[in-house]
Amino acid sequence: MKLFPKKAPHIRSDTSNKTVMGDAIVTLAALYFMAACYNGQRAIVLGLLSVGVCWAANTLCVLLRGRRANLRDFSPVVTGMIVPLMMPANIPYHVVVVADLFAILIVKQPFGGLGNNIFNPAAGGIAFAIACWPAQIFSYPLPNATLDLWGKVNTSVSSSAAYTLSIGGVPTADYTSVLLGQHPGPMGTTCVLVILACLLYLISRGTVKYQQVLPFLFTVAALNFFFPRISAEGPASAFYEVLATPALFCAAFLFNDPTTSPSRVIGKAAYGVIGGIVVFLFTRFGGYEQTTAFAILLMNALCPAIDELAEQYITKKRRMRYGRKVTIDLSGETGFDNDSGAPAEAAQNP
Amino acid sequence: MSERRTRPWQWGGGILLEQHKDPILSQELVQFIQEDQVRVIPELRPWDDISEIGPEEIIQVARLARIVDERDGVPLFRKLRRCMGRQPSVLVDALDEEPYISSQLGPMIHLQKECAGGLLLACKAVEASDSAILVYQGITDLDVKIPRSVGGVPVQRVWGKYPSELLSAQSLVEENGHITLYIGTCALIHLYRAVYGARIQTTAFLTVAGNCISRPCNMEVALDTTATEILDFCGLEEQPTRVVVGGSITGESVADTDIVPVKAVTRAILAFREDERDKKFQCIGCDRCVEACPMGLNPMLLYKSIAMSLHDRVQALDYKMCVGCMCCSYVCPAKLDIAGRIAWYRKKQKEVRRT
Repeated sequence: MKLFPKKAPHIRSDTSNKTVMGDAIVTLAALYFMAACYNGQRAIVLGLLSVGVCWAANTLCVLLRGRRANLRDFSPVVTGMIVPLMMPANIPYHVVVVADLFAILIVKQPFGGLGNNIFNPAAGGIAFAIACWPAQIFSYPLPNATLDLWGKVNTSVSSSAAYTLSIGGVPTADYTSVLLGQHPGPMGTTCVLVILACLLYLISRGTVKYQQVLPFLFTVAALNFFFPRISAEGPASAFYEVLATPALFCAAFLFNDPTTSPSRVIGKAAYGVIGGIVVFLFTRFGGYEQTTAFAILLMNALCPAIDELAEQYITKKRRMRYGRKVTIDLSGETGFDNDSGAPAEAAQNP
Repeated sequence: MSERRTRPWQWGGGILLEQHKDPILSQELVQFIQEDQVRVIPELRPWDDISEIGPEEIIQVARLARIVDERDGVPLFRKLRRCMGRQPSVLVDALDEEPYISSQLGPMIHLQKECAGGLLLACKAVEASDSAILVYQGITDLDVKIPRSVGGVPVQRVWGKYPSELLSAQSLVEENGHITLYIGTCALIHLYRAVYGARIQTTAFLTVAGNCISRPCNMEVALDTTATEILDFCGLEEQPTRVVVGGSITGESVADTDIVPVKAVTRAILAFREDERDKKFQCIGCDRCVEACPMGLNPMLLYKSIAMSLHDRVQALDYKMCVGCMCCSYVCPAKLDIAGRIAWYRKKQKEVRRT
């Protein structure tokens, strides 16, 4: 039988880039469902528009680079789904489109596209939109308000819990409303219970590493517990700062982007802790009410350095560990005829 | 025996694999040997009892019977001679941790008497301080019960993810002055037959499996039988796209089954039919390979550094420590040939050094 030889390994795991991206898409879809429950069809239209723009821009860039467009690459879909979720449901469509284009054309593709980007595209797009249209992005419709699908959206707007926190006040929403997302805020970041469920799912699938997300959330909570900026007790401060602001959403979907995270567990943990500190400092001293996206961009810039330090530490540990054992090399001992049995040199491993 | 010594030598990492060993392991061994293929050592008279034979004689029999250890391809007599009088721990390798394969575990379960007898002989030859049979603990989907001891020798379930076996591939390990010798199950069975039956090793134990095989089984096959004959014997349900000789992970995909003979080290012949579409993606830096690497390397970084010809960087990342277990390629969601590229680079560097 004549065959074409294939490369080992001859069996492969079932996970592929498609399933990794699929995990993110499934969880983001759950958040869109919640957004649609609170603010109607506009949330879905925003999502579809954003995904379409990201996908088109991404495909265009891939073609411009002279590559074949890969229809199974779902990464622009994930970026497209994340961007509107960090914005209010009444956001004008052009803001989302510009944020998407910035994310793909400026933040992602010039660095070489998927897997090579230094900064998280979605965080870049959101940060750009915040810098350009802060007024639109920081005025949120009330939950359960019906929004017009087209034209100028006429609805009463309100400020978010993040704004109340930034001016030193205690948000009016009680704990239950915060957990259920019954308060004004970015359309994907308020449904805390759903985000927690998504996070749990992503961790169980191995798409998100708890070694990174838990230190991050813990650091943010601990710093706000000990140094509250509002006139409330530590626990209330930690609760509102983590769950009523987009910090949890960012931890689950932006901060954990595998491309812009360190590869070693110890690096991930350090990245999480430093990320928590940076987010805390940004919320405390930043100019906007919602600065997590900026903090994540700064952390992305630090990622290669953290990665390198972690790699050096692991290399040192590995060499110490594998230098101790001596294996006796038998590779030269073949054949049955030469029966001298002379011992070969003991080889140091490796 | 201390837990430390039997525990495979592992950084961490590794992967849990679905083993696919049943129903093959529960079935009896299939014999695929002609009568004229069983040969005896003419100048040798079979022994009746272990008390009659001395260490040097056991080693001589192993040599005359031309027994090759299936786990490393080294003649058994050389391994025994190397440890003579040094009171090593003898560990029997019945791990078979690669999915589908049970060509050591199967004979260990179904030929317990020969396996235990062979082990006693080997222990006598090297004056072993202690011995144990190592069986992988990761096998959970079995109908057949793995015994707790074989002929009085304890069966130790080795906890660990793949690759435990490959990491102990060095068959002779010295640690703190104590030697550990690893011997394959099948070599012990052949030793038993040589001593008590004066038989030369003319057969090998192997697993025939895969999604194209109609009657998957563990079989004892005469050496130099071709893969085609074995596949015909077991039957093909459909035309395979890939025939593998060796392990399902580290084995070699063959171009022509007519010219591939069974050797003493052949552990399995696997035939797969799979989706032929190109499934390659780009690396997204998911770090699954870093987590899976049992040697604590960073395969992703090695892969990228090799692609960019950053030789100093590749050196600093300890590419020589790669054991070729293919964990990184197995888990890679982008289906990249990470291990293949590292192996290619190693080979190339060796050639460069030689010239």
